[in-house]
Amino acid sequence: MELFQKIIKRVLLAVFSLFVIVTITFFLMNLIPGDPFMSEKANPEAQAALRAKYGLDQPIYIQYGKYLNGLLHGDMGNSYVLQKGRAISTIVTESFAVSMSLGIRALILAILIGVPLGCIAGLWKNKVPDACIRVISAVGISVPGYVIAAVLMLLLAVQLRVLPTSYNRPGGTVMPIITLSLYPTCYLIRLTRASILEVLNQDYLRTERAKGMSERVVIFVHALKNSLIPIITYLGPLTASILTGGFVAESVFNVPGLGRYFVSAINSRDYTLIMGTTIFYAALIIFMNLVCDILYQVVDPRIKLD
Amino acid sequence: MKKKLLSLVLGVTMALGMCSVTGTAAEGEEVSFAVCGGSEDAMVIDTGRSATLCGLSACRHLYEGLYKLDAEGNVVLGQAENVEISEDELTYTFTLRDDITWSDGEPVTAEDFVYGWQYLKDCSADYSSILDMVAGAEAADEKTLVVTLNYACSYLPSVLAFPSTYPVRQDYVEEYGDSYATDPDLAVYNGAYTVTDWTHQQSLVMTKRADYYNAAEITAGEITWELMTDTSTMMASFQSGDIIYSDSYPEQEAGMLTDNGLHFAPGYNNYCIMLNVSESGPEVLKDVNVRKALSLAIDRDRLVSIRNMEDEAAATYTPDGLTNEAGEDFIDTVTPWYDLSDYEANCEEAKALLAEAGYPDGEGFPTLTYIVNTDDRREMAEAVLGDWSAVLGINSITVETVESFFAQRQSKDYDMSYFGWYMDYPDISNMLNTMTTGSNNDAGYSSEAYDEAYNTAISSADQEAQWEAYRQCEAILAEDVPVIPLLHSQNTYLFDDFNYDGLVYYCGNFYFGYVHAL
Repeated sequence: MELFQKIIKRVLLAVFSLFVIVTITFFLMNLIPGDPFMSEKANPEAQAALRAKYGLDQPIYIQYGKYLNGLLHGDMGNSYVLQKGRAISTIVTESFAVSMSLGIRALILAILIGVPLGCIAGLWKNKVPDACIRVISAVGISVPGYVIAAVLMLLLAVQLRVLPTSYNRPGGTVMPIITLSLYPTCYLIRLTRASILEVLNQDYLRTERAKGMSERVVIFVHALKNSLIPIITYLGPLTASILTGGFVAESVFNVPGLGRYFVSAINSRDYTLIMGTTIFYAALIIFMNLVCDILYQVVDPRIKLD
Repeated sequence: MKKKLLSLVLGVTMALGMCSVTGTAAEGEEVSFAVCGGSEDAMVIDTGRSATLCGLSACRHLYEGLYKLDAEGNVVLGQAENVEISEDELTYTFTLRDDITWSDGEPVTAEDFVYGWQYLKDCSADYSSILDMVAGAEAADEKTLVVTLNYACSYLPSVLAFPSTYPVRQDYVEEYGDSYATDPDLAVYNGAYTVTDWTHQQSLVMTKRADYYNAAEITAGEITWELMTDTSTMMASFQSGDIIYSDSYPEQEAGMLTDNGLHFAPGYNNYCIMLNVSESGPEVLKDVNVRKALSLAIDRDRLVSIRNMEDEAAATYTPDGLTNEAGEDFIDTVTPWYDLSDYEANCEEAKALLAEAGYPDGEGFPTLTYIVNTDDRREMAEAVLGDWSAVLGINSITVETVESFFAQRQSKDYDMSYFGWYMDYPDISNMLNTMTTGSNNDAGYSSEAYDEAYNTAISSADQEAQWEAYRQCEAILAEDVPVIPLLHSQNTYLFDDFNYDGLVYYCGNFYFGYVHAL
């Protein structure tokens, strides 16, 4: 019951955070010069008519009030530019479904590879496996996503022609998943390794060993579990970001996901879409952080949900 | 930078060996293929709002106007079977074909055109004033459309072949409102194709209509429009054979793509520096000698070699390729603004003009800003600044890439700026009207003599008289220099002509209906 109350409190806090985010984004967005209807061929009267139609000619505080009012009624408006005329809620739902389906697979791949490799590196500190894994993870962290994407595409799609360049063809999900998962995999390796090393030096493990507990129990039951805390901390925001897709992977492999919109909506001043993606992402991050905090308690009851 | 690096990686590897383009299609049968014309935001298939080359091209497949493009790219009658033109050329009476239907089976009526043209105006989009020459349109009966004009307009067929002027079904617009034509089932089509699938942000599939009156001549059965955003991806997809056409590619790869699918087509455009000569513009640019000096001091051949895109150095505002019935090119009949072949003499003249204006060797020349909106335009601007510095001694002009480019230009809050105009149909008026008073002309230029010459030209029925008036327009611009023409570029695209033929490319628009396997 206590937990339930705390969760309610956190949810209320989250709503307040969202309100602050909406407000800041709305005004910042309107500070960017330009508007959604600019182009070489547009004529001034037609643009003025469009601005009037969408209420963009009104004072900013009135636009803000109208937007909040719409939001409270569940209406995020229609896209002005990128998918002209379609509802923001539809666009976000559709594209998030695609990003999430790729993201979950990338996330699982990252955890399945990253955590075990990190453990191995930590347990065999400064030995050959550790050295190899550290080199791989250093490369994976420092090479930018667009290079990975380009190399994969060149090698697998253009040269060997074993995979298609575009997401919508058979096998098209392989390269985006690899691109998406590479960085988190390598980051998880390093995180797990560092965490394991720290836990291994803890007094209680020395005590356990001194008491004659087998090395297997010491490591798998006590060391690993406690080294998970920093990993969970990272997994929260990672899940939020990987589920919403990556700009590079999505634009290079032509994935119809949400990730691209975080950049393109701003570039094209698609106001309603900028707000829609921001609200969605913020809500997702807040939610994932809450989930992490609850998970902490499961792993380490000493941590309080406050 | 990111894109450059990406395409460099792509380019180098491709140059290492593989460069063939594959395709699988047997001769004679209906073909299906994928193409890339642009990204999701360009894919607007509402004729009233569509304003990008990709969207307009898609509309040409889905809808059809009174006129259309034939397999050779000529403007011919489309939904109209016959047209009668009155003696004074102010009234056009169109009779619609009997065998034309919308994709829901309803017949196409004259009323659909009347409504479509009203809808175009109501949309307030980029092309909402393309029908300004039309005084009125009336449906005399279901199949007869009477169009009256404000002035005799010899290029009317080209305009009526332009997607913005296509018919629109009132019942669909009224039922779906803002979401009209945003999904396959939210629109109805009267062209050769319907949209059978639209995965937003990814691909749009068009399928040929069996009940289209000219179905026998349409050889492309299913066209998948891949909605890509990244030019390197477009190139990779083209190279791997996944798509047979791409409207864009990384421009720095042009060399590698030559003979591997890269095509050039007449660009019908110009690339200029627009000078703010309006009230709010800088004092110094109000002096015509300064404007002339700036124009003369530019080494246009060097600009052409920097871009390396087979551009033409410009000595007129109007581009080449606009011919009369005898095949004579308009710009060959125009006196050039300056002699392109004698740059040294131009420089001397520029120096003298600048001294006359009170800035000998650029001394005391005020600070000006040259605004651009993209990196490659910045590169060109910097080259121009180099000439001004070397020849005229002007070092007080700086180039700035601005986010609010169009807003600044429209509100005349700038000194000088990039300006490029891409014509929508190959008629001289479509270029020269950009300098008339009250047009899109952000230079703030207004000349009664120019407006008069332009109006004489567009209402002349006789082509020789018309061209004479257009030449006058060019001469007035050359005297006033509200813009500095730099070059006329070519349109480029990738097309797999190793395996396919029949692409219609017209003023930047592309039509795939007649594409067939070789």
